[in-house]
Amino acid sequence: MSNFTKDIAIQSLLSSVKEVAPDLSEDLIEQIYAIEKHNQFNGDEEARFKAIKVLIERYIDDQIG
Amino acid sequence: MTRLDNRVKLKSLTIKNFMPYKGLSSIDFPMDDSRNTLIVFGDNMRGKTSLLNAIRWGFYGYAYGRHLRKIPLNLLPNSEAVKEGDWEMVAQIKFEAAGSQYDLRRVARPKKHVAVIQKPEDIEVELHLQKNGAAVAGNLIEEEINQFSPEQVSRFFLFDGELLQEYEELLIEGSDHGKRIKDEIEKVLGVPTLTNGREDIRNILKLAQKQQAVEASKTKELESIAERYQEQETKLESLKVDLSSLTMSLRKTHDDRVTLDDEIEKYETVFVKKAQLDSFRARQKEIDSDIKAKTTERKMLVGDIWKDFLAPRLSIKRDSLIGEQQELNSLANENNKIKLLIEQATLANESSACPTCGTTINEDKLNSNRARLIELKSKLNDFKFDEERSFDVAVLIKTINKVLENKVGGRLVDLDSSLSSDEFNLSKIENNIDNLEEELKSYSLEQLQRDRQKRDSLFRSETTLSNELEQTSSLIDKTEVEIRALSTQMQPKETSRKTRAGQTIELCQKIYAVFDSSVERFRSNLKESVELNASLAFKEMTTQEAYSGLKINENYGLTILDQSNHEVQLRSAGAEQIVALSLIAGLGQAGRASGPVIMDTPFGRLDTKHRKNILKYLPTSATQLVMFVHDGEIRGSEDLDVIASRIGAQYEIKEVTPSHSVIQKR
Repeated sequence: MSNFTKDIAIQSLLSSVKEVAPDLSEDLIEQIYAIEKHNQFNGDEEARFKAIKVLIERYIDDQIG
Repeated sequence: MTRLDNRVKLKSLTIKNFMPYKGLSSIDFPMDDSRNTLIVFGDNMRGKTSLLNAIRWGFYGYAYGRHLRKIPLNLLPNSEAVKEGDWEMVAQIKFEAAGSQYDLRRVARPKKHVAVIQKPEDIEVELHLQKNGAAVAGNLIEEEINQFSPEQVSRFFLFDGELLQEYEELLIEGSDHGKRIKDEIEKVLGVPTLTNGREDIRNILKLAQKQQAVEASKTKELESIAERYQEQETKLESLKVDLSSLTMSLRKTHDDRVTLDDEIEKYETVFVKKAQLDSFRARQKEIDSDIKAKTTERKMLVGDIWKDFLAPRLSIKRDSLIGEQQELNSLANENNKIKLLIEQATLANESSACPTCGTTINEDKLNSNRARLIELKSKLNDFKFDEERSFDVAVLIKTINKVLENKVGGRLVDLDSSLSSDEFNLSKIENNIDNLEEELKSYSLEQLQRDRQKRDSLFRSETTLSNELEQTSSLIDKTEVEIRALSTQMQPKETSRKTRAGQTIELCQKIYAVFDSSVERFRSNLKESVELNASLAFKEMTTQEAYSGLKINENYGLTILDQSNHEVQLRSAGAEQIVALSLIAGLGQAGRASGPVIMDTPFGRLDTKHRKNILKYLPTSATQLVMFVHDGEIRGSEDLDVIASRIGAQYEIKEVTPSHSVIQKR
């Protein structure tokens, strides 16, 4: 995947945030995307699932404070 | 990082005992950007595709055969080297990417304690990668390669005519094969980053929903909802097991059917030969029966051969009889004339009037007529006409004619010549039958018949399984909707009362909605970009000025648009190839870092003008252009003039023996 399509992917996600969940953290979406992109071709489904789960748990922890 | 930073360039390829290349062979790729084209010439069956496979095997560990089927590893080493006991096979690729220098080396050799290699498992493969002179750990090599040249992307820079033709499938709505190619295209374009993200969030959401149900079951008022939730969850799990099993069955059935299709296709020539054999056997039967009939006739003719010996004498006799018949005929005529005159004279005497005009005849004339009558009667008495003889003569002439007409000798000669020609043809046909029977001996036509029946049955099973799969998917969707509704019912309305599971659910539902909505948005943006880039490439390569560009469909298939932006329904094989190359250019630009394009036999269906356009365009669209061609595809200076200034190197594949080729600089 080139930087060009990466840009399109990020743009698509951020447009969707504005449209369907404007109060959602764009940074969180970009971090999830980064995990997915890093693992796109290695076929390690468990690694990306675990990494995203940890990310979400940390985010909720931060929200609870 | 800019696109330029990501550029990939091949430096060299060195192979040892790879397919027809016995011993060491190597190619240096041109590194100069202004002269970035490498052409390797080679006749058919010399090893052009093997060079493409060497690069593929070096990077990804496999080589393609016909129908894009992977060639078993044990069949890749050079057969002559193997006979000499040298089983080691190597592909070493030096390249640069993102500013780093790489040295990739894949080696295959027999496993210890394996004396005779019979299957892929008898071979062990080692992969080494050095980056800027330092070794990359084995478990990180694949990841390193994926950073700049993932295997899934290879179809856009390592391809041959067969792979190009695959893109035509994308235009067939509902084609299974087209769907698989579409999935591969989407992998390259990065769609899975969003679909996988959606899937991962959904799984985290489910875990949180389960946790919420456990918590709800402990609360009296939510107990029944939690119970229903558990029931739906159990149902969903069971449906998913069914779905997975159906998917596996469908995949296996499909693979089995495709394998049988290939087997049956191989048998096509056998069928042609079987048809020839049947036709030869029918002809053999026909000639056999002709020979029998002619032999019987010949026997009869031999019995009548005496007639031919009598022919000269019979001819003389017939001539004499014809003379006699003529005389007899003239006598018969004379006889009839006298009889007629007597009849007229008698009538005139009796009526004393002219029998013709009725005028009364005077006494003098009557007397004279009486004297004439006496004279005629006397002449008739003297006349000798043998009527019986006349009839006999006619019968004799007819009989002799019949004997003379059926000349046995002539017919016998014709018959002998025809019999000899039949026997020659029969012997030729029998030879053909023997050869075909020998060729067909190893094929079981009954087995083929069984394979065909099995293939048809598998095809029916595929349809049934597809339908069941669709029904199960629909049930899963419904159950998931139900689960989501129950999950919402279990959540307290006030945020302050929400549990951690509830908060995770709320967050994941939002993230899921974002990923779900962005997938189609991303696809739509990508298609727009691919369509634009492919159209630009197409306009550079097509010779038809009336075409305005290309239109992309749901499957990423491309249709040509005419000047009025109407779709061109029929296109030539050459146009198909240009469209496929344009799609590759469009996808390549959208889907990967700038890199080399390596094409095997790419000009098979193109005319000179299209070849020139492509040759002019491709070196500008890639870091390097590598083409494996035969002389029929590119005709020396006639075609190469267009890119003479871009050619960095030329090689030629030469045959030493049918299983040993070498590469030489041209």
